[in-house]
Amino acid sequence: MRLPSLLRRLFLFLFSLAFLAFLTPAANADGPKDAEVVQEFFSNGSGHTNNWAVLVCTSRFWFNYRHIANTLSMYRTVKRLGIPDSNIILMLGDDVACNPRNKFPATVFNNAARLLDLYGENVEVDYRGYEVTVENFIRMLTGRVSADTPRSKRLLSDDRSNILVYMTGHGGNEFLKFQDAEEISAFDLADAFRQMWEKRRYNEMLFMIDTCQANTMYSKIMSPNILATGSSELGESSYSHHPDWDIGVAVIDSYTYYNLEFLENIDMSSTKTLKDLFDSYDAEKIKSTPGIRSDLFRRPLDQVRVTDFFGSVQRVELTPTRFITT
Amino acid sequence: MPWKKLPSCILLLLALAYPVQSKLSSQKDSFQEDLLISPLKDGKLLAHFQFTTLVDAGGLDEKDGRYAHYGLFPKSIGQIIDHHRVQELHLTFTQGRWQYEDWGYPVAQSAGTGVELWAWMKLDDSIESNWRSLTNTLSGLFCASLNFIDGTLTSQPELSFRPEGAKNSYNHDERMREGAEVRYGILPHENVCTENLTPWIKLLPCKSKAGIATLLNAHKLYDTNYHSMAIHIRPVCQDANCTSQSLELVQTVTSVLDPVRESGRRDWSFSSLFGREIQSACPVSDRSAVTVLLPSEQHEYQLTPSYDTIIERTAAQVERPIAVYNLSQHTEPLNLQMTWNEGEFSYPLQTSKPRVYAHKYMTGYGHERGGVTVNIFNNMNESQDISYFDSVPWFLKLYLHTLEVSVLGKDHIDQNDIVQDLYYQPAVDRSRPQVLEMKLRLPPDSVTAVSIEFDKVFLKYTEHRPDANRGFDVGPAVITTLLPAGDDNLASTVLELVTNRDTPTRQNIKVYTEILLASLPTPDFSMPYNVITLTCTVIALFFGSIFNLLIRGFSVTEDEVDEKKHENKDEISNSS
Repeated sequence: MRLPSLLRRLFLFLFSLAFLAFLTPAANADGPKDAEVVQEFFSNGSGHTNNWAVLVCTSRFWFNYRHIANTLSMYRTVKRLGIPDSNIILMLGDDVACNPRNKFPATVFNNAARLLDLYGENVEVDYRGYEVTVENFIRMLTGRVSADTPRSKRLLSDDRSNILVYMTGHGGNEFLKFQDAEEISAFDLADAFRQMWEKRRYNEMLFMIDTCQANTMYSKIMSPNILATGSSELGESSYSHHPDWDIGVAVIDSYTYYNLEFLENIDMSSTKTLKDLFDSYDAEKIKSTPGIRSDLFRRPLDQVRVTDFFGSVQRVELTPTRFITT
Repeated sequence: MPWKKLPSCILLLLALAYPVQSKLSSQKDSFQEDLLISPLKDGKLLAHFQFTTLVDAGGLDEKDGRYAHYGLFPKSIGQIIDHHRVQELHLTFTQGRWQYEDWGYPVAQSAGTGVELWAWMKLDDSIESNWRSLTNTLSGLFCASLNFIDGTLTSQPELSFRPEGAKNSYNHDERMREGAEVRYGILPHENVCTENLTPWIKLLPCKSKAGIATLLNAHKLYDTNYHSMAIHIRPVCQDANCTSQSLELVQTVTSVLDPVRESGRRDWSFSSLFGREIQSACPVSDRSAVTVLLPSEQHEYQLTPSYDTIIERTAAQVERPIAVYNLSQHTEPLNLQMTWNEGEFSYPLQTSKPRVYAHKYMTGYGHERGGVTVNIFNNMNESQDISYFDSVPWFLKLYLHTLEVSVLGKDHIDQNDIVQDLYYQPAVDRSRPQVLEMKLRLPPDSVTAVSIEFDKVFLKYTEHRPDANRGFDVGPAVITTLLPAGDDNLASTVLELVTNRDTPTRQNIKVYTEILLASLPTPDFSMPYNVITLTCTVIALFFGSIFNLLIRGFSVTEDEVDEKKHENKDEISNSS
């Protein structure tokens, strides 16, 4: 009887010794110095660790070809700059690529020169056709989806996510039409973003919208860390850029066209900032007055890289010593 | 110092690797790729791609009956069928309509226009939630709106859509029914495009990097008269007694191309049809072959390069020679080319009708009621048993008393002689569709008409689709029948012949009719705004002025202050 109890004590002693030995370096490593390093790593820049893109075309019907081309152009851009398909939620209100009216099957072009097929060989459309509704859009943003919803239809972002929300369609003063059947109002959108902030679903957000009277759509947003830009002021229409006479319809909108013109010269190593992008806007060329709202955003725009939102550039810093997390 | 440790390291590595190696090799995965090309009678060209992955069902984990290791079999599919307890699954994406009268029967089980899903699932308490979850998961995987197959579109066929797995073949009809149920749903208005093909290609072991799948060029594939892309998963027997089973995944793309459209000639080559050539066989494939079903007259055409083997009328049913190219023996890229010895193609004046086919159409007019008729043609000199299946959405209210089955031009044939069995499930508004199923015995050389009438339901304002004035698509009727091999199902006979499968004496053939477009009464969607405008006007003009009249005091203004005060007091007491 005595021997086992003695053994047990011995074990206990040895165990506590080992435990202390395990804890000591960890406690040391977790000192103020390393915390500072970590803090500095995240505070230096936007503090995001992952990127998401929500690209929405709300229009149905063939004559709205340009809205789908707008959205797919953005899709190609963010994919080129490193955001994978799993982090892109693409919503297209209609299928123009395989539409019987399309003279060039399984393609979507954003330029009459037809040099770049936006549909390509590898495209994943997450919400399409009738699935593009205001309800689905808000549910996806706020994460209030049914348990059966597959991963590809969920915005699985967190408080370290930078999100690009791009929308295009037909709109008006403080609303955007979905499929000619319903509208999302500026208040709905602001509330959804508010809920996302409360649920810590984003770190920073860039909201970009190309529609008539687009700037009214972001006027009601009240959540922090949101940067917004739109194509036209209250009372102004947004216009298409040019038509393709073989396709028979306009292929891209002006505002998106000039955004792309800038983004085409960006690669993943680019140090261009959003200020450069916004400075490139020319109301004469766009034929409407683009708006920028940065009062909710905490960083100065000349320190925000374009790739913070349009790309996924991972910041990796090598430390000379091992960092132990607790 | 480190070098001394090296041998022991290798030993350790070997020791670690050994059990893994043996585990993997014990699992017999196999992959076959086939391309069948057959010129059709109306100048079109049938190109049928078939990729078969077989995995030993013995690879099942003992503990929970799930696959633990994945080799060639795609993990994404394996996990889906495991998780939802699916025995057999058939998912087809189709655009265009298969022209039975011109082309005979399709090679593999083809489906009606749109997206069709049917699955045999283990029967337990969670089968409904499993089915719902399955449609959602597949919708995410294949970028399609399959999640719209909810309760209102799901039916449970009782006579059609029997299991196709070898274990549960038609001959063992009763045995397979134990512990499993079928669920069927179709979305007739679902588009099919590159975003559906992309995930489909990702299921292949070589993707589209090597092998026959390199030819799957979306730009060419969606520029065809008909294309159908499918996955079929079913259990198959490894031997005659079915002591051990395999799980078979068959991925098919069936397309009907039209070389005549461009040049007026029937000539074709891989580069003209698909814009590509086959560089090499998929290295992991056990079999990689291109089969061309040749025209019966040899002087009509040239085929370059020359074939590796030719099968001349081996089977009694196949009258035409078959050329086979074995890709694993080819070192150079294969660009198959066929040139016809003729100027311009002249279309045949007569179509060659298949033995059993059907057409479906709407009858009646107006937005209140209508009817639907299916004409089933039997061109054989003997009577033929078929199963008829139709699932009609709840918003077309069928009346069973109006069901009429008659043989055109032969009024003396009684309805009861044709209808052998009937199953009807009435609809429940907003929760389930009607299902009409029949076993029919078609008289020899006849046209049997099945007709039924319906009322159109006035939908709620919010139940309409964004493009409400287009109407609602109604799925096809499906005719299932067993037919012996013949001229009209030549292609599938050939495919079974070259893939060395046991050719059954009779093939199970499904004939899909057209899909229909039902226009329902649509409300004026601006009506709420009209009502608001009108109400506001009424309030402003009528109610406003009356109210104004009632409460406003009228008085004659006079100079005397006293009198005015007096009058005002009176009026206030009156009006109150």
